[in-house]
Amino acid sequence: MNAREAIGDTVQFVQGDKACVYGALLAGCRFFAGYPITPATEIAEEMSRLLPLIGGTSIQMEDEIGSISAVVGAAWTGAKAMTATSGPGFSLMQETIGYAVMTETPCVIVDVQRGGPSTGQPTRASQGDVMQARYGSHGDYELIVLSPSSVQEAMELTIRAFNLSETYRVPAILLTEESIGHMREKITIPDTVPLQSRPATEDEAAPHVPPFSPFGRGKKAFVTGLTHQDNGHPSTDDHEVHDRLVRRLCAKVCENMDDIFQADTVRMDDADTVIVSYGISARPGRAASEMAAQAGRKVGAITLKTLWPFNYAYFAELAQRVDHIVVVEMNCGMLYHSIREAAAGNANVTLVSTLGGKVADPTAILEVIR
Amino acid sequence: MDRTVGIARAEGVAMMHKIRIAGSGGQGILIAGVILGKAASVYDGLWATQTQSYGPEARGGASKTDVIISDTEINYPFIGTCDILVCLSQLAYTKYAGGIVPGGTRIVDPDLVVHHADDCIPINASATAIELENPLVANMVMLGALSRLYPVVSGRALEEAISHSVSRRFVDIDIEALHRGMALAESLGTGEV
Repeated sequence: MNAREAIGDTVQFVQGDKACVYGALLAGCRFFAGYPITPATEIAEEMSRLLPLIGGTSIQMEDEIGSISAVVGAAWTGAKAMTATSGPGFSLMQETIGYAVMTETPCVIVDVQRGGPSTGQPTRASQGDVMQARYGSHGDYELIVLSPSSVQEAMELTIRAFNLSETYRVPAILLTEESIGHMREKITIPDTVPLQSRPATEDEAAPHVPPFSPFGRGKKAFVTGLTHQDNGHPSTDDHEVHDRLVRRLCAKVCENMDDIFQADTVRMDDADTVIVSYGISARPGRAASEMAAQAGRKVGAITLKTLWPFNYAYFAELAQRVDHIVVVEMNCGMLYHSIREAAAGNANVTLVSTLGGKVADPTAILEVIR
Repeated sequence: MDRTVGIARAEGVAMMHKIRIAGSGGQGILIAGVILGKAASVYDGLWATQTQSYGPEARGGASKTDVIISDTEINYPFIGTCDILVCLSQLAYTKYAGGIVPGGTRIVDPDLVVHHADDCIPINASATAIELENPLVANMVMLGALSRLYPVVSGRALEEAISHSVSRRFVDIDIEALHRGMALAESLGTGEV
């Protein structure tokens, strides 16, 4: 049975967690290792149901450190691999996410965000891991973080996370929330999807990305989390080697911004105010934009699909065009800071912040615009 | 008295209905919401969202699911006040009866919601389910009644959704319960059903 057959009907009414699994399977994921945690458990359940049907492997590990480590190992053999967790487990994974960055290991990590810090609110949504997704591991690095605002996008952006992760040999994080993970909506499942695989030769590779040699396929591969030369051999006390390596790891993500960055816009023509949000917060954002339009106001809405790398140029240009940028987030203000930095005083930037699992109400967003 | 709620489907006017089904953990509240949303979106070609309460309140206490059905894509998937409330326990009624728009419809099982406002529509779902020798199908009786009292979703779509959602051995009994619920709603003398 192939992945598409295992997924079943073309139109389904499913939870975001399940849609995420569908996306992974369509993208070629054949290895999942995870540890159950609300609200991401449904991903592990669905993986354990479907992967064996299509010749894949799903393992429940002893914890989240084991899970991400198994994923990195599977990726070294050439497999497309994924894990899924929530806040507390995501914290445990951070060191190995950095290891995947340093070893240029393609892999996908799904974080279905719940309220934190600590065990917090297991059954309530939050966007409190936005900074951790970007800065959670030590050292200088860049990786890719995508955020779906619907169940359909949970599937589509999981596919994209795999493709970007493979293209750039970098961990890609699908950062979603309990609200999307547990909500059911109608999705339409494609028969085929565009697929990317990690480069096998220099010719196939994107700028700054080295070709990948899987373990057990005839070549001797060196892999280390230590600072290393181009041939993979450790070189830990030469500042030039370290400087070149770290700047290349960052450049391969940031210099491909045009390929990696995506945002959906509505009512942006002649808008003087724009609501910027992502994930579940984009839903009241778009509703508020529509309500404002009915009241004759020029209020656009931007839904970010790519959170990191942060597109400073996009927001710098936006701040030149509009008077007021309203950022809607389920945290105390995270992406807000980067947006304000990019706006550089050229537009007012206001934060609408909700906590405790509460998704912003469209009328509360309108209050700020008034 | 005509209890059928008219559905405005004027040209160019978006149709959106907010439905809350509430009861106790174990009554099949969640699956009723899933089947309703699936019927409307997958089999009637509309848009739907379904959300639910998780956590301690879903385990034995008041449990609820919110379903929005619309003929356009739904931006905001959460419900403040609902248009239709279906209640299967006194506790849930106490908690949610007030959260309804003026002129909204409240459907209750009078055996389970003994104390309720006069304008509530009584549907003897649990008693009917016991007649069918399966108390667990009261949720499907309610869905059948809902589809007749407030026709946001077709009976055919509900049957399709049941067939594709529940274990094969429960399909027949669930669909029978659905039909009994439809008949109960019709027997209220709504005139238009």
